[in-house]
Parts: sequence; C-alpha cells; structure tokens
Amino acid sequence: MATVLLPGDPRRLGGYWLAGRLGEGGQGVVYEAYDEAGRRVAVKVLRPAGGPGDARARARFAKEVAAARRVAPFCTARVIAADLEGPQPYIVSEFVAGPSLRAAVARDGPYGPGELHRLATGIATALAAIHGASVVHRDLKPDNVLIGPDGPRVIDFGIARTADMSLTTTGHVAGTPAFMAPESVLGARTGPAVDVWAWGAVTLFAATGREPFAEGAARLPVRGGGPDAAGQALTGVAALLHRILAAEPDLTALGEPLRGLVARALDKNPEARPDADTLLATLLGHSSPGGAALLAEGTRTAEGLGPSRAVAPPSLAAVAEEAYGALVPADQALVPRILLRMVAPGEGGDDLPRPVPEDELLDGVVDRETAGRVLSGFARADLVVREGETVALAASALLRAWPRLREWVDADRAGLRVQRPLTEAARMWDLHGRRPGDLYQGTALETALGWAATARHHVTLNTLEKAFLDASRGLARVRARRRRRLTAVLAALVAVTAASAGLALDQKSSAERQRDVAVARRLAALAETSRSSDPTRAMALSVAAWRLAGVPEARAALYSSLAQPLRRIDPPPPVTAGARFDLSGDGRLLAVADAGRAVLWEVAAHRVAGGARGIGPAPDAIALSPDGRRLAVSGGGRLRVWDLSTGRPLGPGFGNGALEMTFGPDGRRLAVLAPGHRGQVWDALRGAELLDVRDERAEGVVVSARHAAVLLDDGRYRLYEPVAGRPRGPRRLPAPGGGRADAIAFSPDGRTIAVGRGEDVRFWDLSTGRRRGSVLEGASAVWLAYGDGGRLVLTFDGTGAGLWRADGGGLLAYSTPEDTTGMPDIRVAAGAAGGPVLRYLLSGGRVATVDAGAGARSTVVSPSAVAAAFAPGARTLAVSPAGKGPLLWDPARGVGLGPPLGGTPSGALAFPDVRTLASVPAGEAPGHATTVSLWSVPDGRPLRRVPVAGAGSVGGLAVGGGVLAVAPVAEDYEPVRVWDLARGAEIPVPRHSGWDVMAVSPDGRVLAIGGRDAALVDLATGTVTGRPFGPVLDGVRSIAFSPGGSAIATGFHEAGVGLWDARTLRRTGTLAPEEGRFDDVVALAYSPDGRLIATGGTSGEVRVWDAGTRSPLGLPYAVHTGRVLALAFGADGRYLYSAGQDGTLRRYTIDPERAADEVCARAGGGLGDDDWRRLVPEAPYRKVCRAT
Amino acid sequence: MTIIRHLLARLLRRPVAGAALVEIESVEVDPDPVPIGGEGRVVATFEVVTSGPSAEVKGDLVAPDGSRTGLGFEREERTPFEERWRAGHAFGRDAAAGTWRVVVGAGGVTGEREFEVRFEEGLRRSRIGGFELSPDPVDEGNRLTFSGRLEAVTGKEDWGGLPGRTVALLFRADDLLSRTEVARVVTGRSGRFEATVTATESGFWSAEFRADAEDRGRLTAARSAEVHSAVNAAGAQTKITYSARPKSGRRNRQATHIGTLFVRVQPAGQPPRWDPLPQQRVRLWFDPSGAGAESVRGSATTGSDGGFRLREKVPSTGDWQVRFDSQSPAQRRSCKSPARRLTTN
Repeated sequence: MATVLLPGDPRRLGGYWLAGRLGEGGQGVVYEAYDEAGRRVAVKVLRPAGGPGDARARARFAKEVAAARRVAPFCTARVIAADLEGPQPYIVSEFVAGPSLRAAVARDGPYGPGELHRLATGIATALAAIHGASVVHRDLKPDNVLIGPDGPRVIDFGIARTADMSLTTTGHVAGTPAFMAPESVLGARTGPAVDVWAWGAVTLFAATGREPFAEGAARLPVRGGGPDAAGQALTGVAALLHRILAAEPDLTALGEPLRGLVARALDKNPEARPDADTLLATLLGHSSPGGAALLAEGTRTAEGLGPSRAVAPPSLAAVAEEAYGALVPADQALVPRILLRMVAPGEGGDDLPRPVPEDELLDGVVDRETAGRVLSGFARADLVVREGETVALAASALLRAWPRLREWVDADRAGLRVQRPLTEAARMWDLHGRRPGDLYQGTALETALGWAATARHHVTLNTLEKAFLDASRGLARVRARRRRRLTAVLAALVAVTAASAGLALDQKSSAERQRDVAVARRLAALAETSRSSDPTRAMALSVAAWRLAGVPEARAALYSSLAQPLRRIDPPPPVTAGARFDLSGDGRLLAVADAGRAVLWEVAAHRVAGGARGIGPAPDAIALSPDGRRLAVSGGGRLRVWDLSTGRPLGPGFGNGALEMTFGPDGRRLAVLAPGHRGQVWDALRGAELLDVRDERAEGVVVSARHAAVLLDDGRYRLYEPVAGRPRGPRRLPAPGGGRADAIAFSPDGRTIAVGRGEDVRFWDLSTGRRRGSVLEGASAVWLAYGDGGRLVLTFDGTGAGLWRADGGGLLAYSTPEDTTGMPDIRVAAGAAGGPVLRYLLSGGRVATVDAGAGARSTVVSPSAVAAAFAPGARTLAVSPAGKGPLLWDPARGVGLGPPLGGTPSGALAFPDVRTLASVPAGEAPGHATTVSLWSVPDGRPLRRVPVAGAGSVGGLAVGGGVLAVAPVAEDYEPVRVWDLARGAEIPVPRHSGWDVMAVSPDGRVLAIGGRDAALVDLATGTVTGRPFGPVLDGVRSIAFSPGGSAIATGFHEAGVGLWDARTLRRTGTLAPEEGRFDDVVALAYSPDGRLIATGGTSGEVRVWDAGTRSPLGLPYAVHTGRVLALAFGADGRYLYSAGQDGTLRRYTIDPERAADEVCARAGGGLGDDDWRRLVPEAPYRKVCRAT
Repeated sequence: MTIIRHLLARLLRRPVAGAALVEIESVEVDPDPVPIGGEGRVVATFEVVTSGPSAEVKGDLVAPDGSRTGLGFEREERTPFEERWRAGHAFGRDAAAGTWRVVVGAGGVTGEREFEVRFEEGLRRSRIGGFELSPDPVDEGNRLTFSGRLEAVTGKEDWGGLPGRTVALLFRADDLLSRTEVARVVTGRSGRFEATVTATESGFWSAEFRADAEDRGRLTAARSAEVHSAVNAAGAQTKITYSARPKSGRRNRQATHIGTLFVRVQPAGQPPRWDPLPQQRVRLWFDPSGAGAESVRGSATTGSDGGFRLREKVPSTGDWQVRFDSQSPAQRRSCKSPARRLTTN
C-alpha cells in the first residue's frame, strides 16, 4: 500500500508525477506514480553512488537498463523508461498491483503445493525471459517478486549492483543477503546460475515462510563428530554467509518434482545447477527446454496464482473515485468548483497543484458545510492536504491519475488560465483598498468578461472576482465615453497627417480588425446575458457580433439565437397597476382596460387598433372575443360588452359581475365565473342569461357555440346545452369521462370535448358520446385550450405549456413560461415561418412570443423509429420504424423516397456509400441464417445479402472505406466480423467481441468498438488495442472518426465527449457538458471540414461544438422528444440533420451567414441606430441585416 | 423562457428502451371484506398496478354464483416504470355475500384477487394508527425501525388495541407503485407493534392488517398511511424492468425473458432521470415452487439501450427473477427485478 510522499520526496520526475511511496530499499525508494496519460507506474529512484565511481556506475546502469528493456514481458514487470543521467537517476517500470511475495507469505502463510508450483513456474518463466535477453537479475528475493492479479511478476531485474551495495546497505527491505548464491558470497564471477540459486531459495521460502539459510533452517554438516566450531562462533550476517556456503537447506516441506528441482538449484556448484529454461521445461513437464511458447505456457500456468493472494492497493484514481462517490450527488456537483481552484494550469497540460486559501473557496463558491464535507472526505483519503489556512491537492499526480479531474481540467484549462490571474488581480485589488488603478482594462478585461460570460464549464467566480469584474466593467464604460471625445480630436489630427497614409492605413485597418474582434466578443457575451430578458435584442446582438467579426463566440451566439424558443417580449402601452389584460384568439391583439378606458393594442406593431371610453374606473375582469372585436368588462357588479371598432357598448349592463370570464369561440357567448362561485353563461350580444349554476361551488366555466361545461371544486364537472328561452332551463347532458375533470376545452367547431383528468387528456365526440382520437399522455393539464383552428391543443400543467397535435396526440413542444402568475393565458397560432407560435401574457401585460419549432425545421418521417442512419453528406436518411422495413428520405428536401424497403423491420442501418444501404433484421430470425441486406438507394432494389453464419442476430453495424463491420449476437455479443465490400470477401480479424456502438475509419483501416470493453482493431495488421479510450464507468456510447481519420470522438454517459489523436491515441481534449446539463452522448458527427462536432443525447438534445476550442457553439437544441438516433452534416456543411426515436428529421442551419439571415428574420431586423450607438460605441453603425 | 429538456422528458419519461412487455404487478381491493347491509351502497375500489408499456386495463367482477360484471378502469397515476389503474363498484344491500373475485387483464396477461363481501352486522372496523419510522433519513445498511398500533372500533367512536394479530410491512420503492411485503410482526398487548429492518432503498412504507383466519368476517382489513423513508447510499440506484412470456404451457417449453436495466441519474439542479445502463451482465434466476432452492438459469449482457433478452426452458412451475450484481457498487448498486411466475401443466 502506498503511503504519502514525505517532505523531501520529488513531486515529479520527467514525465511522471509521484503519488506515494511504495517502499524503500537498498538502492533507493520506489514510488507509485502516474504518467501524462494517467497510467499508473512504479518509479524507482536510485541512490547515486557518489564519488568517482558514480559516472561508471551510471554508465553500467544505463547499459543494463537497456538490456532489461529487451526482456520479453513474461512474468516480469516491464521497464518503461529510465533516466540515469539526471541528478536523480530513476527507472520507471510497469506497476504491479499486488503485494510482494514476502508480504503475501507474512499475511497468508506459506504456499500449498498447487500454488507453490504455479509460483515457482512463474518465477522460472521470468528468469527464462530475463536470461533469454542476456540479463542476469542478481537480486532475486521475495521482495522482488510481486503477486499481481494475473500471477507473479519479477521486478528489479537487470539493475547492476555490486557486492558492496547489497552488503553495506542494511536496515531496509533487503537487509540480509539471505538469497545470495555461494559464488556471490565468495566474490567470484557470477552468472545466470546465481538467479537459479535464488529461485530455489525463494521457492523454499514460499513453501516454509522462512529464509532457507536462516538460523535453524539449514543443517550444517557434521565433521569429525563435532559441530563446526567456526560456524558456531559466528553470529549475524557472517553466520548466515557461512551457512550459505556450508549448510544444506531443509527441503522436507517440498514435494516432488519441486524438491528435486530445488535441490539441484541450490547446489553449491554453479555448474551443477540447471539453467532457467530447463527449470521451466521441467516444471511444465516438457522434456526439451526453450522457446517463446514455453514462456507463454509458463505465464498461463502462473496466472492462476493471482487472485487469492493479490490484494491490489487501490490506484489513486480508485481512491479519488471512492472519495467522490461517497459524496451525495449535490456535493459531487460542487467538487469540480472546489478542486479546480486547486489547479494552476500549465503550458501543454503541465498543470500544478495550487494551495487555495480557504476563504477564497467560501467566498460564494460553495457554502461552508459543503466545503467541509467535500474537503474532509478528500482529506481523509489523503488526496487533499490542509496547511494552515490553505488547502491543496496532496500530489500533482492526482491531476494525471484521476480521469474525472483530468476531464474537468481539460474542459476548463483555457478558462483557468484566465481565472488564475483574475483571482490574483482581484485579491490585490481588494488588498490595496480597491483602487481603480488595480482594475482590469483593455484586452485583459475583454478576455475575462468573454470567458466569464460564455466559456465556463465547472469554474465559478467567487464574490470578490465578480465584484472585481463588475468594477472593471464599470470603469471601462466611463473610459469608453472619454475615449469617444478623444477619438473626435484624434480624427482631426489623422486628417492632417493623412499624407503619410499607406502604412498608417494598414495599421488602422489592423487596429479596426482588433477592435471589431473585441467588440464582437463583447456583443456575443451581451447577447447571452440578455437572452431571457430581451430575446429580440439578444438575436440582434448576435447578428451584429457575427457581422463585425466571425469569432467563435459570435457564431455561438448566432446558433443560440436560432435555438432559443423565445422570440420576443412585447410591452403593453403605458398602464397603471390596476390594469386588466386579455389576448385575442391568435394572441396578436391585446385588450387593456385601465383608468376608465379600453385599448386594443397590436402586440407586435406596438400601436393602438381600437378602443372604448367610459368602461368604468376599476374593472374586476375583462374578456376579449377571439376575433378581437368585442370586449366584456366586469365592474361595479355588472357586465357590459363593448364593440372596440366603434367604441360603443353593445347594450346595457347585465348580470352580477365576474371573477373570471371568457368568450366562446364564436364570440357570442360569454362564460362567467360569477361572485359566489356561480357558473354562468350569457348571450353576450343580448345580455340574456343562458345558464346559472348556483347549487354547487363552481371553479370554472367553458363554453362553445352549443355547449357549456362547469367545473366544480370537488373535481367533478357538469355538461349543459344552454338554450335561451327553454322553459325548464338548460338541458343537462351526461358528462364524458365519468363526470370528473381538472380541465375542459371545446374544439372550435364545438363537436369535441377535451377532458383533462389526472395525467392524461382524452377526447369525446359530443354528438355520439364516444371516445375519439388519441390520448395526450402525461399532459397533466390543469388548463386546456384549442388553437390554430382546432389543429393544436395547448395544455398547462402548472409549470409549463405543452403543445400537442389534436389529431395524432403527439407532443410538438413544451415550454415553461417565465412568470405567468396562476393560470396561464396562452394562445397558439400558425407562425409566419410555418411552425406554431405561442403567445402568452406575462405579468404587467407583457406578451411573450415563442416559436414552438425553435429554429430547427422538423419533418415527421415515421410515427417512431428504432434505428436511423444518414448516407455520407446526409444525402439520404434511412429510418427503421417499428414493425416495418426501412424508409428512405431526402433530408435536404424533407421528402420521402418511395415505399419501405423489404418487409423485415431493421435493427441497425448503415450506408457503405451514398448509393448503398446496409440493414440487418431487428431481433432474431428463427430458422434463418442472419444476413446483412444491401440495397440500392436510388431505386430501392435489393442488391445482395451477406450471410453472417452462426449469428442469431446482428447487434451493430459499421461501415467506412468499403469495409463492413458486423457485431453478431448469439446469446451474447460474439467476435466482430468484417467484410471487404468491394471484393465481397470476409477479412480475418483478431477475436474481439463486437458491440452496438462501432465505427470504421474513413480509409477502412481501423475499426473502433465502443462499450465498456472498447477496442481499436487495425484491420490491416490485425492488431487490437484494448481500452484505448481509458476506463469509463458506462463505456463508450458513441464513436465518430473525423473526416480525415486523424481524430476520434467518443461519447460518454454524463461525461461529455473525449477527443483522441487517432494515431497516438492520446487524449487531445474533452467536450464537457456544462454543470447541470449532463446527458448521455449516443450520437456523434463531424462536419465535413472537421471543425465542428455535433452531439445527440438520450434525452433528445442536439448540440454543436467547436472541435478546435472544444467549446459549445450556442445553446443546445431541445427538439427531439426521445433519443437521438443519427446525426450528419450536409456535404457542404451548411446544415446539420438529426433523426430521433420520435420519428422526426430535424434540420439545423450551420452556415453562419444563413443563420444570421434566419436570426434577422426571427428578430425582425438588426440593431437600430440608437441601440447601436448605445451598445457599440466603439464602432460606427452598420446595417447587419440584409433587406428582405 | 426556456424549453426545458427534463420537462419534455417528463412528458415522455416512460422509458421506451428494451421494451419489457406488460405485467400486472398487483391487484388490490379496498375495503376487504366489503361490508354490506347498511343503509347506503358501499363503493369498493379495485386498484391494479401494471408495468411495461401503457396498455388498457380491463376487468370483471365475478360474484359467488359465477356471474360477471364489467369494471371500467381509469389510469390514476404513473411513474417511469408503473401505472396505477382504478375502478369502483357499488355493492348494494342485495349484493351476494361470500367470496368474490376481481379478474383483470392488460396487454395479454391476466391477474385476479379474491375478496369477501359480508354483512355489516358483526363486522368491526379496524385501523392502523401512529405508523412511524425512524430514523429518517437513514444510511444504507443501517436499521430502520417501524412502530404503530392496530386498533378496532369498540364503541361508537372509541378505538381499542387489537393484540396478537399479524401485521404485514409493505414497501414500494420510489418511482414504483406496487407494494411488496417485507416483514410480518405480531401486535403486542395494547395492539402496538414494532419492527426493524435493514435500510436498503428509499421508498414508501405502510403496514397492513389483513384480518385473516379467525378475524375473517369479524374485522375489516386495514392499511396505514404511507410513510416515506429516505436512504442515503453511495452508489446510484439501478432498476430492472422485466417480463416473461408465455406465462403458462407445457414443461420444458421455451420462455422469453425481456427487460431493461436502468440507472438513476441525478444531474445537479434537475430532477432525477433513469438512463439505460449498457453492457452489464444480468443473471436470470429460477426458484421452483416449494423447492426453495434458487439457481442461475442464464445470463445476458445489456445492450446500449439497457435491454436484454433471454430464452430459457421452463422446467417446472416457479418464480423467475433477473438480478444485476454490480461490479462497482460504489457507483452502481445491485438490484433485482420483480419475480415473474411461469407455470407448467
């Protein structure tokens, strides 16, 4: 088990970060360490010999280390690297996760016969490998045999050591030369036979638990009838050496054949000992020694030894993961905030721990309790140390060893480089009395603001940093005003000196460019911050930013403007606090009753369209007819209806007032919840009472041209047919749905009643009383309305509004209004761009307009989909609906291409090229051999079938470079199989199980297999690289190669996307989800130029990332209502397409110019002259939206 | 305004992956026995909990003479995994006393439950009061203690403790609607009962008195209010949806076992959700009736959608269950599916 580093210990050696001490020996200290990639290694730091012998010793070390690196990796811990030149010579070897043989015997006692045989075989295998490389170990002992999870490993071989090193350095692990051969004791020339001796001695030690030549363990020969006087007189080391030379070890603990073999190995005459190959062959029961096959067999035999004895010390990552896992999720979410403050980002990933004053953490980063819990959890695991008032990471190795921390750091490295100086600057500013001179300005401020507004992942600003930035920004505004005055003066000077223009102009345009870049960044940041308060301006700002400079931030803002559903918020005309509001049926008109007059207000145009005077001083409630022509006003205990086009009342007052009221769809009937909770219906034109329910407490009234429904406060409702002048009053009808409802709506044609009850909304035909249409599942409606002429149904569940297709019942969109108080007042209408538009009242009479489609064109291609794939360049989409053969669509035009292909539903789809589709049947096909079907895309004709012999079904398909990879399933996933489609021949590949997440590189040379046991298979050489994407909890969920094949992107569950260099397999970056928006990345696509990456999640979210900066480009598109199945960019990169489980195809505009035009259209134009002057004082006004 | 993903997901939150078939998890009748003979009609409610994809529940009441009356079930509630359906039936003075059955069907499977209809005279109402648990929250593996009092009406509105009766402790996990019996406890002299269990999972606990044997016909059954217990655990919760078909048939027929393994994900600032848990080994256990010895009959690895599918021979009537034994319990907890009974004839 590793212990913590001591004060004098090195923290880093070369490319290795030390994490803890594993042990200390005669030659030096062994540390647990991690390399750049987080790989766990053992680093042995050699004690320099010192003096004139030093150089010689180093040279010999170097030579022997080189030899050791030649040793075949059989039962040995490979030497990975060594630096014997530096002031602290060290050797890096493979980390073996297990105790030494000495520790294992001390803990569990001596080995039994079976285990002993495996152990002896393992050590003999190691010796055969070591000697095979012409290396002599010279120090084989129980401390140098580690019992790893997969058998014994011999370590420390090939390191030169002289007799005096072993003899004079005592008190450490080695301590005694108990395993030294007689010839070594005598100082004679030593060869491989010393290792064979040691093998015998170590084997005997394992069998007995005692050192073979310890006192009492070996018998000295009796000469001349008396004990050996010389031997008796010696004590300590000398006695031991004497016994090695003269005594016979006790072999009775050994059985045959080991006993004979150990006896021969412990022959005092080196010549008489067998060599390592013979040892191994004998142990394995072979007559002739030698060969790599024997080494492999020896390794296999030894492998069985591991598990029972090996108790692997947990890796730093495991310790950290355990400490992290022990926290509750809410605390876990705050861990990155805390730990990232303890990181000083270095160049090229060379990050260092940074001691953090505790007050910096508590200053608005996390609360004291959370900080206490997190820090003490990590401190208990020795991951974090407290020193006085500061806390710090215990070892910089943690930054390499713990993948989670690495990902956090990778995601925020650029930001940390901004934040560290910011933290220090803010501290200085605070320390020195917050003087303006200590504030940020210019580029530093722009950079910090840009980062703070847009590019943060896990890092948060603390209160001091925020205050510092705010103060800096305030100062910058003052400076900008001063600068404008100055600029005017300078302009005059420039005019005078324009003679030397050439160079000056160049400089000026360069300065302008720099200025535009800075302004664009600022505007983009401003767009993000104003997105929810002033969406129209946010859109205009994003276009202005993009047109000023095409920086990534501006592009991101542009995409956010497309993805943001809220299009605009329009204010009402000036009103008092007592004003009442209502919207027309399409939400375009707003009625305002205030201070004795009514105004009909055009919401978008901000102008008056009608009105009336003398409506009474303080109305209780108003209702606007759907067509916006009539206004009902309740005041002074009476109701009155006004014609807003003429400004006159339709008749005298009637009724007894209203708590709430609403017109029927035809504007002739008025549903009124009257004082005393009476449910009433009035003829609005004549003021005649049609219904008055007063025997029970009503909670709401809804009316159609023919029917009325009164909702009662106990969850029941009554249905009436109010008819004027009917002698026995209105006719009461049986109420569908058991007479219980939370919300009711009538279709505009009056034929259908929608009843919301519990979670669902159901529909009944009012003429037949039968159920009709589908069910709005999970709508949980407390309020219901029809919209867009009855084609859409709008539900409100107390939190958000759902928009549904009235006929199919499918959910089109779901939005959460920001501040509707109580019941919503939502209207839906067909938008100009085709998609539905919601309008609703916010507090104070403001009207919000929301595009339900939110920036992505939607095409329904199937009711639902099981699998989907895009042809290269998104030229064709294939989707597989449940229970039917695949369908082909043209994504660009959004049209279907003929009937379904074949009759069999498909489980997986892939396009080997634009003209060919490969499909496999969904599920098992009993009695039939599973085949991959190839189809001609242009005409939907079957081309041929590729039988996959022995497979019950196919779980995954991948194509690329003319290669088809198939993951067959028979009970479980079977080894992957690969075909060359051009030749039609199967390509032999090494055995590795396939998975339903696979990808083939564009050149067809590499197959990437995802899942938890991910692998890269080189199809040309047949080599397999296991776990190339690191250990991941839930495995690799999606894989994509970049267009050139040089990079690989891998999607993870809740951990974003890993980016890898396809050649070196080094991690080049991470696309990290923002805090609180974690998803399961199940679909990935690169843009044709490789600069963008699109990700799709289980939740249906699609987002675009800048592959270079690894930052998200804009808000995520929340358009699919289920898992994203496939993603692809169009060949020209202008659009991104996605296909989802919800059976829809979505198109997103990627071309920024086009996106800017679309944003201009949504926003209804760019920044006005005034806004520009106010928001962009640095640059002259320019028109950023093209005239349409 | 924002379009909020989780709310969209909430509307479609029924996990579609893996596609377990419909199963009837429980059929409950309240009250049981149904007391008739009083002045008004007594409305009994029938609650059915189903799992798997949404399907209509149909049901019949079967009177002691075998005559049938249809029941109209309406969905009352749903969670990501289950749906609760409810129907009511009014029993008048003239309803036949005796043993009735409620037979329900959904998605091709059926379930039933017997209940009693009895004359009110001589039938005393019972109730469980003061049902409590402590501590709350509790750490996983620690002891969770319940207490309460079983009472029967003694006078007009006087209640007295019922000693020596068996009370069952029922549990339903968060996001589930069906209850399972966890323990039984006998009431003390004053009708009080106390029980201790090991805390494993957050969910709702209730106590139920079934008025079995000698109390049948003398006391009504009773169930306490549900009390929630929060369990603090290190690893993320996992859950298996599971269905098996066909339910009955000959010995050694092949049965198909399908389901999905999920993990509960709790993103900061968002409601929890259930994500499919891919590439994990799940084992199919079989417990033949009466034999009491369980054995593993097969195993499968879950796909990217968390789904698994197994086909195994049915050697005899018995209960089948799918289990996930986590290799990294600090991150993913182990779990068991509900048991499914397959019969042979």
